[in-house]
Amino acid sequence: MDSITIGIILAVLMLSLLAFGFWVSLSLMTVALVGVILYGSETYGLIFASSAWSSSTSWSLAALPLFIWMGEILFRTRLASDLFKGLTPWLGALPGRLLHVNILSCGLFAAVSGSSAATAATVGKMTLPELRARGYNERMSIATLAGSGTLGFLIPPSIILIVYGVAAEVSIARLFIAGALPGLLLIVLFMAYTMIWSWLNKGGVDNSPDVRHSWKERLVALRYLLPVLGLIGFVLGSIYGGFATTTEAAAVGVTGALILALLSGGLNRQTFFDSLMGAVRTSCMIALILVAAHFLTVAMAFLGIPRMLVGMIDALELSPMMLLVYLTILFIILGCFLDGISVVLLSTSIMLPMVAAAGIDLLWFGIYIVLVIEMAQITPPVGFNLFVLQSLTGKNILYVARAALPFFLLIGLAIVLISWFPEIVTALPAQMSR
Amino acid sequence: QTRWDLATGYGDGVHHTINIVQFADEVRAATDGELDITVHSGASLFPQGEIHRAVRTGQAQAGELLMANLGNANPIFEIDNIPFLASDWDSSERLWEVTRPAVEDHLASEGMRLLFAVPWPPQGFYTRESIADIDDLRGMRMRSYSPMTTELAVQFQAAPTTVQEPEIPQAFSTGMINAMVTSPATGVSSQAWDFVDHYTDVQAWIPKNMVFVNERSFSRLSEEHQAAVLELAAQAEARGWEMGIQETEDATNRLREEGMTVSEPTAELRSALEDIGEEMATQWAEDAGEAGQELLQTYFGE
Amino acid sequence: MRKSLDLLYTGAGFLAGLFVMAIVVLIMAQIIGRWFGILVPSTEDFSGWFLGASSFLALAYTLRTGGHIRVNILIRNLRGKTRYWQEIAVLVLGLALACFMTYWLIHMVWESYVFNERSRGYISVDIWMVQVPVAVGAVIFNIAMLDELVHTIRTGKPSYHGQDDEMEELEELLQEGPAEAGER
Ligand code: NA
Ligand code: NA
Repeated sequence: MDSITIGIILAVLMLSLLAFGFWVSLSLMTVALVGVILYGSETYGLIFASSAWSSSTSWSLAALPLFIWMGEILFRTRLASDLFKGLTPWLGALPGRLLHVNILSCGLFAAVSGSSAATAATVGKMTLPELRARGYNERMSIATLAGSGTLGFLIPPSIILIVYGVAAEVSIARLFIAGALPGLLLIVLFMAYTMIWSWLNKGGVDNSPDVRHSWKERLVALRYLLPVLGLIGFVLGSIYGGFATTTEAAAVGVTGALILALLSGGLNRQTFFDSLMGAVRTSCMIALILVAAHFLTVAMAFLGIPRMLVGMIDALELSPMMLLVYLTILFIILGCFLDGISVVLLSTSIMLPMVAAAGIDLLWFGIYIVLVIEMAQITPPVGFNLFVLQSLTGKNILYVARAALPFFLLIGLAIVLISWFPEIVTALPAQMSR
Repeated sequence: QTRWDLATGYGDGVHHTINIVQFADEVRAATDGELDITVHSGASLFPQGEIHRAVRTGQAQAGELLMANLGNANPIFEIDNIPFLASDWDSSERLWEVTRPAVEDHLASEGMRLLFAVPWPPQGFYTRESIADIDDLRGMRMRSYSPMTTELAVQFQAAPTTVQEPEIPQAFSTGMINAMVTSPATGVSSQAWDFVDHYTDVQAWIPKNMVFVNERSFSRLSEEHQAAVLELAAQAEARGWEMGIQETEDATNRLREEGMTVSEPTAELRSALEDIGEEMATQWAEDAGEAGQELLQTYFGE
Repeated sequence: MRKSLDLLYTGAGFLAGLFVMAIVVLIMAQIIGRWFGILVPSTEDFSGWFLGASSFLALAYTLRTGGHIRVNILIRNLRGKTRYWQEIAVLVLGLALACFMTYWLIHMVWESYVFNERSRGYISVDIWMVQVPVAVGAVIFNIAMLDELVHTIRTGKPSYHGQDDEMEELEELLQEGPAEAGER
């Protein structure tokens, strides 16, 4: 059987299993298993075991449960309501008001977290109940969160950029710096869209009368932001002070969150236990999907499916611009079925020579790939931010995906913008050269 | 037609991978496409740590990995990691000649066959300040990534600090580490000039990657094809060493072009380093037992 | 029987939590140790192993509490017998896959033992030892899957229902009333 036929069989199988209500992780695992067997490998069991072992015990992944636990702890402190108290006087005059808290907190939290899923989980755990209590449109609350949660990959530190930097042999320090401006660009786009939306949907936001806040009130309210800024300072300080690496910073974050919870009196035996078990549950779910996704990655590599797809594009001999358009489409299709890290791992080794040959700057391409993967985080059926929001809100995945669609398009717009003005990406890293 | 999957943890730009891809092409041509080797680079099939076992159990037919990675299974694999034992190309080649039979035997005992081994560029010091003397290294925070590099840092009275390769630039820029031992090639790929000024070309050791194949898969080939694979492997090894030497030259020049100060070690530094090397070789021989001691004797005897 | 099974799942889940705590302690020890120039060796290795142990030991607990996610857009429209058979089919397939996982993960531990594989770190340990928790977690996951299947055949409903997202959603819909429902 040729790879195209096998690829079509696997895609149909995956969609059927998912539609049938089979667990996402086990669906991916089944598809991978069928793929390896169709390839003709006699050692499919051994291949599963090695891929499961190596993917579930990787050091950089150790940050994931820690950042999730940090979120679970913070969720049980006054931090969430404090965030609202601190930001309300500032955002009261802005159309969309506290919806911007989602975006801004994601931006802030992305600066301490390397992963999109962890960013969405932490911030969502804090803000969603508050927004619901204040009568904000639930769909828009979920949408802003789904969109801005993806900032975790773009604003440094970033797991994806580390993976890409290693594969493409591009300096990770430069990649991190290159991600900063595009991250800000996304925040601006998201906030602008939220303002326009709120202006058009007046019923969707806080219905309380418009209270004017004096500058004094605003400044006084800032003290509520001190804990959150202190925590970020603590974590960022540990990284930029040279005390901890990006992965280690996750442990610093947990420690900081525990101290904060102790000081604010929100920590007792029960809440400690609850937060820990909540983190275990979420990270176990994500870990099993990662194990399955890695197994699928291996199956795809054996079958040569990504190689084949890229080969088809390569044969078209496109201009750099058209190449990017095709690659974007390919990435979005792959991103529907695979998680972001798998997409990078699967495609870079085949794609990068082609990209470099087309004269595209590999540093720029790294940021581009992160943006495309951010889109993939919010496309069904496999999108990690969708999964996180599904488990946070209990809404089904298509509801969340539909809600997030405008933000999917906004990230697309950001891709167009960085293609038009590559300086958004390259200006800051260029400052690094001597 | 026979399909082999060859797993490697290194990316396409590395001279090892370029060499392996060429080897695969030549095998395909020599066997009229009967033996088709697919090279899965950049850990796209198995991560570095799983490749040995994957080939051993037939999950992939062939693989490539850094020899020293198997140091815990048998100290023989770590002999090319002993600092200042064989620190120029000629002695490194001689060391490989001496060790090769032992490496082949070990792999054979696990049902595998060595195809060829190719060196990385020699390892040198990357530091912020220039180092004239061994004392300049004392108290530095030095990157360690293996038992041997940890031991080396201890010998220098430096503080060994574990940092993974992707985190090197950040660790330097934040001062978590201020010295590392690595090759000019890694220096180029991590763009070392962004965070250090001095490269001291001490040629501490010359590590190697090896390519090996599952014996059962190999024995299933026709005799004619087996001979072709082995002959092309020998050619790949010779070519790989040339590439390693060329790579060293190119990478070192690149470090210079990017504004780093590349210098030879001073006489004092060199003799101090050789003393340390001797001590570490003795330590290694203790771990390696009789076979290891004999090996060292043969190496020094020649 | 019921009680001891539940204790098994919760106990393994709690153990998973302890492993997460151990990761934090280990990494903090490394950071603080580095401050004082003390090397805490092999933290990368051990953190990775603890992570694997934690993920697999929590599998059954996560299954029981409805933590493993699935796409429910189609199945939530199924009612009565159809819904029953769909759930049985999912559990049978799930059990088959759990058996596959368990068998090969146990095989992996056995093979590491036979091959006498050791880790390549400053502290070198036998790989099979650190792989045992992963295999044990898979075994418990297998038991939980079988448990769910038997439970569903007997009572017509798996125990993760009600904790499962879709049921919550139905309840929410009922509580929130038409205004919110109309928005969907
Ligand atoms: Na981030
Ligand atoms: Na997706």
